[in-house]
Amino acid sequence: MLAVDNVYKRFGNIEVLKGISVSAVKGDVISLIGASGSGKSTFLRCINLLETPDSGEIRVEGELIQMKRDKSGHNIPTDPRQVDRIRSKLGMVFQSFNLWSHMTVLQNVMEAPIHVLGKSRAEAMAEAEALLQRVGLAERRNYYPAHLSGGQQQRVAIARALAMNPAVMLFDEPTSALDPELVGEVLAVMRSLADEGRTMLVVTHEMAFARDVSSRVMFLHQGKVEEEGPPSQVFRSPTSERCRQFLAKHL
Amino acid sequence: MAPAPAAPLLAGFGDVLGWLFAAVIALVHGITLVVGALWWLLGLIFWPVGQLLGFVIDILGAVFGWLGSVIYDVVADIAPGATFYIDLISFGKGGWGDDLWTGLQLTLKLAVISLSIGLTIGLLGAGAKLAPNKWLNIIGNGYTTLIRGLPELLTLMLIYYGLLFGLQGLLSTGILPLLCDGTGLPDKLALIGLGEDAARICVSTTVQIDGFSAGVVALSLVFGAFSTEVLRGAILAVPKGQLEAARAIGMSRRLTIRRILLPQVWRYAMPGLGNLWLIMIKDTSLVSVIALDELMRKTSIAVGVTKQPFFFYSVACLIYLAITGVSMIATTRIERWASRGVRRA
Repeated sequence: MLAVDNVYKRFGNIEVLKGISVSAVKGDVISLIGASGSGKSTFLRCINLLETPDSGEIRVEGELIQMKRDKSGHNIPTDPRQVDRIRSKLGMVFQSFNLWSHMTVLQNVMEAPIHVLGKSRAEAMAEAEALLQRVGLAERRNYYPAHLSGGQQQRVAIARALAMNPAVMLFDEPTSALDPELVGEVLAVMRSLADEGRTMLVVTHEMAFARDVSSRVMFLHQGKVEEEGPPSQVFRSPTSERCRQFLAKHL
Repeated sequence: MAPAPAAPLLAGFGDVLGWLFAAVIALVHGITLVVGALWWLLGLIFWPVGQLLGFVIDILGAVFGWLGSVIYDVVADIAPGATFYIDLISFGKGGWGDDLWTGLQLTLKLAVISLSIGLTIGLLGAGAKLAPNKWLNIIGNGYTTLIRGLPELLTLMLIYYGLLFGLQGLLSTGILPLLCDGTGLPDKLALIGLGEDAARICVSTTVQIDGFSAGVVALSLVFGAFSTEVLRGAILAVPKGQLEAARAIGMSRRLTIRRILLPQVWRYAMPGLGNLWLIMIKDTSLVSVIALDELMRKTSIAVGVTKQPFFFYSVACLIYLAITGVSMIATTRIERWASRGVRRA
């Protein structure tokens, strides 16, 4: 499904990612945990090229994203259309929802299926309504994002990503911008996605979610994978001292 | 010893200069052709706007004409003295109503057409300023710096008298005849496809630009320069995360601009654009200085003939206030539409 190999990324003089790899087969739910600044969000953003990695290989469903060097030696994608196509297979959910504020909930979910996948309005609308039903917001379909709570907005954002029927879902701290009492509803939706066998990469601070839902946990520290394994192992008997300290603080 | 026959001026440089000027003239021809074609095309595109406006105005005219006659009868009954002023602005003989009316129409046409062209320029300008291309940045910055730095009146004058008129003066009176004597220019013109006849036509053609066109060009350029800045600010105000979300879901750069960026630009741009529109309506009065018979000039003429300055300037006042008042209602409406979904209902 997804194979990322040896990704490096630096911002100016700071090396944020120092050779991170991950591979996910269908149905994997991989949680990325770690302190802020450990590079987990940057890594996630490198996978769909919202940040361009300096080196490393990314394959989605076996297709390698072609990269080349530009005149000043920066790594850039060879073909922007390939990037667009690959992105449409990777559903991204952001910390700050990023719903399009000039569109209603339904329009938000229908937008990409119509304009990227070229589906008909009727088809896109039927699917969008089913997805909104799924995330429990069917009755809010004609609301604008500004009139929804944070938790509702994030559930719409998940529906929007699902509408592309992506191979892999990427979650970038999906509950970090939410009031505590709204976190549960978003996690419930994510849990149901995991249960139905969606491949997911989740950057999160919700340790309970990482422990109970994911099939694998990666602990990142200073741009490297410090600890990796099934949640039972990472949470019960971490081999890394740093990971132990981090978990002690967050559990 | 008999003096040698005077060598033609520039003879020594003949070949180089000859080619150079042939090239310049060809270029000028090219430019005038392109400008002419563009102008014609613009006219074609915006012609329906003018027609529609004229139609609306005609209907309004009929309604108000009828209303006026009713009011006149009433006033004549109550205060016979006041009919003197009503006669002054009547549409009949001795009244200036029809003059003010045609002036108002011209003012509105000028403003609406300049708005549509200016807004197009503004979008292109903002795009150029924000583009990752250095040369587009330079063009965008040069344009706004130049136009915003000049008084509107001066811009208008430069366009009316300067550009094409000056160009023609240069062609017909100065350089061309001089060259034809000395350096065999017609031959070279012939070589690049312009025969001797063409050269003569080039000399005798009158490049002209009428007051209305000059007004539209000047006002469009001014509105374009100021709206470039308004739109640039508005584009930057659209939350980056929403554009990122569009890219992340697989939308191309163009699709993102068309579907996500542009529809939201208006929300941030409307207050500024509404302001510029009001300023432009008032700037149309500047065009009166190049003898275009818009509202302000018609008013001045009426004042000159009737010696009733206070009365006619007051009437003009009310008319301008009526336009700007209606405009403000309209911009508020548009603003509300552009902010749909954002302000709490």
